[in-house]
Amino acid sequence: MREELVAVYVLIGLRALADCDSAEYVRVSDLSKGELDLRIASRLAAVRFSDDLDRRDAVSRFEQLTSILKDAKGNSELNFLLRQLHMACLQRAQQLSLSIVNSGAPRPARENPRAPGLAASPAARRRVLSDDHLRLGVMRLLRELPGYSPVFEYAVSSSQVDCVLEPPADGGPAIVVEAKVRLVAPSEAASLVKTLRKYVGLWGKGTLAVILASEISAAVRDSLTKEKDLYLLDFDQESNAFREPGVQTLTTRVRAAYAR
Amino acid sequence: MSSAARHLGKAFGYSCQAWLAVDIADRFFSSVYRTWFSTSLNPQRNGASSNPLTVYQELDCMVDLNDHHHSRVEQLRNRLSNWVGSSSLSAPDIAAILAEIVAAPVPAFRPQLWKIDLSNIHVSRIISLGQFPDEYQLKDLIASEIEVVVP
Repeated sequence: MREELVAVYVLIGLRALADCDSAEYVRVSDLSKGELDLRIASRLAAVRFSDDLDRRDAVSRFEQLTSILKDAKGNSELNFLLRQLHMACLQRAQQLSLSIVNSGAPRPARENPRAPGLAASPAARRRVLSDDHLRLGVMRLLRELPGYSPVFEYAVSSSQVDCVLEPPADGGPAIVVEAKVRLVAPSEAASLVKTLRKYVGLWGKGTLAVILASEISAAVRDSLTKEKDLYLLDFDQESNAFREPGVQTLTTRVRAAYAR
Repeated sequence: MSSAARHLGKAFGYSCQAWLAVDIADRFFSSVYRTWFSTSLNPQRNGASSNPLTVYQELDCMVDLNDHHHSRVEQLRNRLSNWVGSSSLSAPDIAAILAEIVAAPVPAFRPQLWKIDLSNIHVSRIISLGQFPDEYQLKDLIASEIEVVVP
């Protein structure tokens, strides 16, 4: 609900901007004024049952906009008032967005991660996302495994593995990591397991394998349950945390190896 | 095809983008960039805000000094917030990105200097922004159409 209000405030601010600074407006938006009005009405309708002060304030801002457009005397006054309203609404949206994030409220699942009608993501974007996913996931894992050192894109002959975690001098198993942002097809998981097994074999007995993923299908989880010495870690990049206790099982195993 | 290069009589366009804008486009807009550009690196008849070289120098200096009071920081935060708020992203996404923009440290606005090969761009994609003589906009630039000259 409060997220809707953030969107409403930005839109009301934009509607004011469209009339007071059209050059700036076209830099940021393609919406016509009519489309903006429709969007504002639709967003306001989405919060119509809220008795929240902010909701009433948003409605009042929209009424204020209508009144400025109708009653302002001359262009200077119109532009001044609209600019003030634009900034006031934008700042309120920014404050609200911060308070939502700071309140730690769980973020609803993303409904529309990509704008519709846009081109498919290029390889460059996938590479950036997947590289971030790997590095952030590994760094988070290292907080649970003190003493380990990461070697990213570890190359052996003509191929490479995403990361190898080298154990500290006083022992512990090496850990070979392959990362995948989205792991949905069991065949894809099987291929990762094959790669990991190859590198685990190179590193020798006791080496552990880790798959670091973010969106994991139930079918993939099922397909991996019986894999020995393989840990499937569900890493949430936004919260920088592992979603389930797979990481605990792994750290317990590593500590047990130390103890021996 | 009538290319922008033929239409404008220039082979390349230049733009300066803040890293945060690029990052948001990468994560939420499938790496499709809404970009302004001019046909020379230092267009004398454009205002400072539409001169890629000036914008680069300004952002670079601002980041170097960690100058969080610089008016350009506020302007960029507002412009990015408006762009995101006007998109068709969901309300939770808009709120989350706005919070990210507001809280972003000054280094998140570090500049990238872009070179755009105008011979690959159809003239119909170009919008003249009208404020300055050499300032254009592309709403749908993709990574393969850009060379990041100074990352």
